[in-house]
Amino acid sequence: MEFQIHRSNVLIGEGDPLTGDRLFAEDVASNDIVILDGVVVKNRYGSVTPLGTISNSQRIHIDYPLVSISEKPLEPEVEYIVSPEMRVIDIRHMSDVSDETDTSPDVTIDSQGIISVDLDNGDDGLYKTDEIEKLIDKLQWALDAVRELEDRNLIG
Amino acid sequence: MKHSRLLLAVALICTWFSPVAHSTSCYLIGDSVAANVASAFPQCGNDTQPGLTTADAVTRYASLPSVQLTIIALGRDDSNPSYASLMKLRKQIHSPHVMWILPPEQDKKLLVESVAILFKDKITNK
Repeated sequence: MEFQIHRSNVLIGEGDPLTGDRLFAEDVASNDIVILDGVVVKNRYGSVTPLGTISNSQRIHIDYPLVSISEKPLEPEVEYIVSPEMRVIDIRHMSDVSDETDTSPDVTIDSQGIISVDLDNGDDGLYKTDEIEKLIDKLQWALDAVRELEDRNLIG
Repeated sequence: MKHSRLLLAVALICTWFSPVAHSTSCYLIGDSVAANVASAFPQCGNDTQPGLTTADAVTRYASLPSVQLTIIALGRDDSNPSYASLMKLRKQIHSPHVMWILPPEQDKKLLVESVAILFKDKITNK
């Protein structure tokens, strides 16, 4: 597993990831991070932009990439998951992925490198940007550790 | 006698360099960073708890499995990590190889790193 994450060069897809976003497959191969079915992103100028206002398939550069909100789990057969150079970020409601006693945001990276971010402490459909930022920082830190462990080849 | 020592040395070297030994002999402990990292290495055992403090870690990890490599991430979720707790925890770990994932904050990083240096452990996220 190899992580190639930068804070730019991010492809943002919106709409149904099982249909329209499939058209992005070629673009995805040249991007490190793909944002799916998102609600908000914080762009390079610091403003928060509803993804719905960005036209489909538009690629923009942002300093703050990994923001995506999805109420349904990623479908495993989606083509864009397969590239080892990219990471798909999937933020879900807690009710989909976690137990109800866990009230803290949670980030997990599975063996395919797919990252799931579980947010349960905001109102449905409303997410706090600062919380997402904290999650991203935490995630980035963990990814740095994973990458270093892999580089050193200490874990088979 | 010389022959048996040679065999022992070969066995030890084979154990350390064997892919099987590597893949089954690692264990991750610590806070939310450890939890995130653990999910990327399913071949390792783990016992992690988001929000875990250094003080709580001493109790939680009073008994740890015997593995080749123990990886620890602590400090990030602790507003006031304790040097004494980190030292106590480290003394409870008997793996031949120990690696610390340093926390991002500079003061915490120095604290954890000082323990790692003392025990000649490996570190990441420097």
